[in-house]
Amino acid sequence: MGVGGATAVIAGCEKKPEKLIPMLVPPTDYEYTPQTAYQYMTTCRECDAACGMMITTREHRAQKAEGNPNHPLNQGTLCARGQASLQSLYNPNRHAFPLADGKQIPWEEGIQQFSAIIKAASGAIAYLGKPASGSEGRFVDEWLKAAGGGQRVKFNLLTQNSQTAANKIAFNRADIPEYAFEKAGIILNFSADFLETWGNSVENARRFTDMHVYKNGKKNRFIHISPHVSLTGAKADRWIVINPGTEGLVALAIAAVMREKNGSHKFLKNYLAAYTPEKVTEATGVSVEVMRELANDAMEHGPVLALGGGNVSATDQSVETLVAVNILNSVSGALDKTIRFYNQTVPESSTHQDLTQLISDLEAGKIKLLIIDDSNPVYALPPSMGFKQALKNAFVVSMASQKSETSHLANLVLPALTAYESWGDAFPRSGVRSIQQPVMSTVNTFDAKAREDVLLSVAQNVNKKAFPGNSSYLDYLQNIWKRIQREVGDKRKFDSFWISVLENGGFFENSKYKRVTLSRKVTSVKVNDPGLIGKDGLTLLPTTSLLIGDGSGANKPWLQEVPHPMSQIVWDSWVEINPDTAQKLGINDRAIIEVTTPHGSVNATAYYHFGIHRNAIAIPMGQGHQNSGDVADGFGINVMNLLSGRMDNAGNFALVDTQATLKMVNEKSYTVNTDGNARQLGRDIAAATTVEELNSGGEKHGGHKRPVEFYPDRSETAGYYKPYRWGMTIDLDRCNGCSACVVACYAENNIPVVGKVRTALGREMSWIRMERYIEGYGDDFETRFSPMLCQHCGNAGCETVCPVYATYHNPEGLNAMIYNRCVGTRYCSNNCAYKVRRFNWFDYEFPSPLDQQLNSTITTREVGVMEKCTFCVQRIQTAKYDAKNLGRDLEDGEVVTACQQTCPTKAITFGNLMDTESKVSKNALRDETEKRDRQYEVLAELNYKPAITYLKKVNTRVVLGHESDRHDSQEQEETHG
Amino acid sequence: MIYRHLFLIGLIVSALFVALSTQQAYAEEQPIAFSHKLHTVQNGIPCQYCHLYARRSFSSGVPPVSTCIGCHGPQEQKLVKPESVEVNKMRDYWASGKPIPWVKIHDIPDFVRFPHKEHINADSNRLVNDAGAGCDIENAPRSLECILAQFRTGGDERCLACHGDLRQMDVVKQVDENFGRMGWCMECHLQVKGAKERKRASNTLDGWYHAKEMDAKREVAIGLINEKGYHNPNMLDCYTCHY
Repeated sequence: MGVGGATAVIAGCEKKPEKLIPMLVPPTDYEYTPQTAYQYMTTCRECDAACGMMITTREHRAQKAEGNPNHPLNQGTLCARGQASLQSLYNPNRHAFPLADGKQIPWEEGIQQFSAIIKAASGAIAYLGKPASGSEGRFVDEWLKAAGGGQRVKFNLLTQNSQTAANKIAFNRADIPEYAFEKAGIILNFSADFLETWGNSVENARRFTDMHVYKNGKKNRFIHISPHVSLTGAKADRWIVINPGTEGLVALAIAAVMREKNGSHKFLKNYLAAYTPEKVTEATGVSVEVMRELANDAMEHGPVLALGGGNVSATDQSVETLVAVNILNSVSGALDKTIRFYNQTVPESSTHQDLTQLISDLEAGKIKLLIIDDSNPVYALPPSMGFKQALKNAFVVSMASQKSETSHLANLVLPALTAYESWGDAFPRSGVRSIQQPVMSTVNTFDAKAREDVLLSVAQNVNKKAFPGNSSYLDYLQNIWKRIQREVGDKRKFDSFWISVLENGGFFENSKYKRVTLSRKVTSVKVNDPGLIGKDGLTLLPTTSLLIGDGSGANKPWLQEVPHPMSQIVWDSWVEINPDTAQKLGINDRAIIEVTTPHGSVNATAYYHFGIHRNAIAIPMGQGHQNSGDVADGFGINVMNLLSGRMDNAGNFALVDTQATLKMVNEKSYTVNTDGNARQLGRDIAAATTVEELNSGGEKHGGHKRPVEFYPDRSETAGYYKPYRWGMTIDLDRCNGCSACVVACYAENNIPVVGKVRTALGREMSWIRMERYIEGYGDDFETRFSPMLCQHCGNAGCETVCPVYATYHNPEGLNAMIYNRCVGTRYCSNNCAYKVRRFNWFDYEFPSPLDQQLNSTITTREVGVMEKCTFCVQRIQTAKYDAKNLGRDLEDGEVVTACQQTCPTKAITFGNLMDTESKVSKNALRDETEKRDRQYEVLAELNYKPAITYLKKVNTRVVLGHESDRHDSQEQEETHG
Repeated sequence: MIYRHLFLIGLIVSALFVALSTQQAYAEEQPIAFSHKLHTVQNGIPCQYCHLYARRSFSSGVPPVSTCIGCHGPQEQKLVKPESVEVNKMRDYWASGKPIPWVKIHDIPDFVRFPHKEHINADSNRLVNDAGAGCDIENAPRSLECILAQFRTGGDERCLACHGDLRQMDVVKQVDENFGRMGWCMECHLQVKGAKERKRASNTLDGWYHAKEMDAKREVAIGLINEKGYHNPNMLDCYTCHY
């Protein structure tokens, strides 16, 4: 035994020798090199959109999710939920072992029990699962047949089924078409939250931005026609406030004016005559002039793209509303231009009507065995439907990976694998076949099996003839892909086809389209005023959050910790209420209010929001869990408890048909928001300009002239900026506040989650934050977003005050932060004008197995150390080493930061400012014509010389009450926290 | 008074402890008495036969148990050294499917990113011309000159430059008491062409005032660009290793 003194004594801390654990047998060279990133393509299963993912694994542990660059839907980018899908995989609250009535049992016993109950049920089986676009649905159908019969019930809380029903009526296609945002000249949006949860938000954001961004001196317009301004509405050029549930009437009124002028669709003449602006103005609350103006705008600036659907317009007449939107699209000539239907067999969808049937079947005892996958109906269905009680009438087998309210009530829990560990596929639309492959072996703390594999072996237990020749779901899947190979006419051996599918993340072809025309049947569809405004109380709008979604995101620490971009509230639910209404009712901002509907009552925090109709309140879905794990339980409230469970004609929940009354319970609440002040107070942090200003040709407004200085600039000093000076540009005209960058940064940089209490103390650790500012007052207000991160200043405030030289300006222009030098004085943070430095007040925990996600190429910080954005220096270093070994310098685009990589709208550019040809230089260079007048630096007057150049948001209007003429409006300030 | 004495005694004791502890190189008992000497000198196995990731990765990699089995063979075959007690220990680990819990001797702190591959593949011409001259391998094998000379030689010698002469070790020891400390790294890194000049170039007043005219001159002096025309990495920047 040697003496471990030398290092230990001098270093001043005792250290146990570490162990070096070798592998028994290494994988082949191609699959394993330690500390080296390997990428695998797969499909994201967090929502139904089926984006392609590229998972970075190191030491065979998935550490970072990125978009699959080959995938036609998301093209390399991901949303916040996709980024956080890693926390489905490593969630400490996953089911770790099979449970029978809450007690741990071995797998063999679980399978035995399951087989026995299938035999006993003899066909009285129901399988409740998500609608599947891929092979899974077909597999379950065949499985039910093999297991002796039964029915598959499809369930999804957020469904686009009303849209397919409306499309069936209008175009005889029960399908969701392609929305070609980029081809539109003007978007009329009837309450669809297309940047959040409506359709594929990543693809929508990309295509919408292509259309909406300022280019060639022009900006196409986006009109939000809705009772509620969501994150999507915040990006609109104009918000038209309408009464809840009257989207269809406004759409028809606009269609009526347009048809009169362009004379198309003669058969609609009489039909639309009943919906002229004059006739609907009272019901909708929109003036005749505004509707005529919208129609004229639409005709002038077309092609039009009218969108409808989503939660806020989901009244009991949502099918009629969506037919009205279809009529508007047809009349304006959007069909086959901005809206194209696919020539495809329609992917599966679900209605909530199926659930009603299931519940009555359960109550009647017609179902003996109910199998439920990862969906969570006990949480998602309004309690008045009685699903929870009906469960008692059957033996419930939960095959979920995550703990939930539903699996909590199951008699038998057979833990399933997540999408990261199992096989699957998805065919979200014509020409897109996306594969889901295991990117790593099962997380070692969970004794789980793939759902399909368990089903398969159980079926073969009870029925010898089931699935002949298939020993696992992979065999089944490969058989389907063999058929696909024949269909697409691929002549290779299957093995090479299969490998190319796995390498590309699927098989992608151009989509096939089918022309459609408006059916004459639409004239029989009567669009009525739901009359929600006339009723007592305030109309309750259950909105969706782009972070938590339908509630499945609530058990992921990142999604709870990242502030909701609109409200900036963390770990909570809130009730959005118009300040005018609130003051009439005597309700303070951030007061606890009791919200009562005929179906239930909850206590939640009031949040003043200009962007909501004065006779409505909005509560986001997805919080208020009870048995979904430590991170989800007890935060916020479940809005579904307030709803009736009534449905529209397509059998989907009429989410908007409940009136609520409010009562203030307590003047103050413990709600935590990170924004501090919603107002810029003249600081112009998120700056904007207008199209007119940019085109005025007068004196240019952008670009900051720096003062002449006594000292030479750093770039002139030898040793600096040769050959790289890293810089970034952020285009606020492209940014829509989706916060995917924030979650990506958490994932890439091992940023700890601190929880609600510590966030309240200002100890959140996010390196990049989505700042949200509000301009103007009342209905004419504007929301601005600005991602704020370390500016890597050339003349930084933090560097000069560090007593130990832990932070300094690196020769490549990075504001370096050396953790091991830092002694924790926090002077740097105090002297940082941008407030982007974070201090480790504790040794933060990454509860196992979340620690397996930690990026092993960087240091995980300890207590007492300052940290902040590094411009992903680990990515810079890795790329530099690779380039050096190839004998060259770095090229433009070789280093991509995590935030830039995931941005669906490509708002962030990163690169070398010394290379005048690089993309970032072109965006940041001050003499470049296109962007010249939009460039600015945040707080430039401090002369910190930030390396980040922002490009101003481009508005089409100037809101009244802009900060510059209202510096003294303290009173107004307080009304809007 | 008594406290001052105590303090002095404390000082002496700790000084003694430091002195004693540095006399013996750091080593730990390993689960198997594996001898590097036996494998490398007597059997002539090069380092990277087993540590196969050293030239490909940040980590050199601990040899997997299958590498040992490749020569020694499992229990039932017993190819090389069939009767050795120590080798049988390894065969037992293999048979039971357990990895061998080796103890880490050459450990660097977690806040350092040390790339093995960049060192294995480094071009020794980047060292100043007289680096390694005057190495007296007999009397001062761990002098800076000898370390540099070994590094220049390349091959297995390059591994030994940092890890010490493992060819003479039956038990792995950490021979340099400063192993893994920044000063120890910098001793060699300052022998890279232009390193000293680069270190002086930054942040001096002279540098600021005469920046422009000195720019071109200094660029050459600090070896910013190599003969192939691309830029040499800056090994004196903290961010190169600490992030």
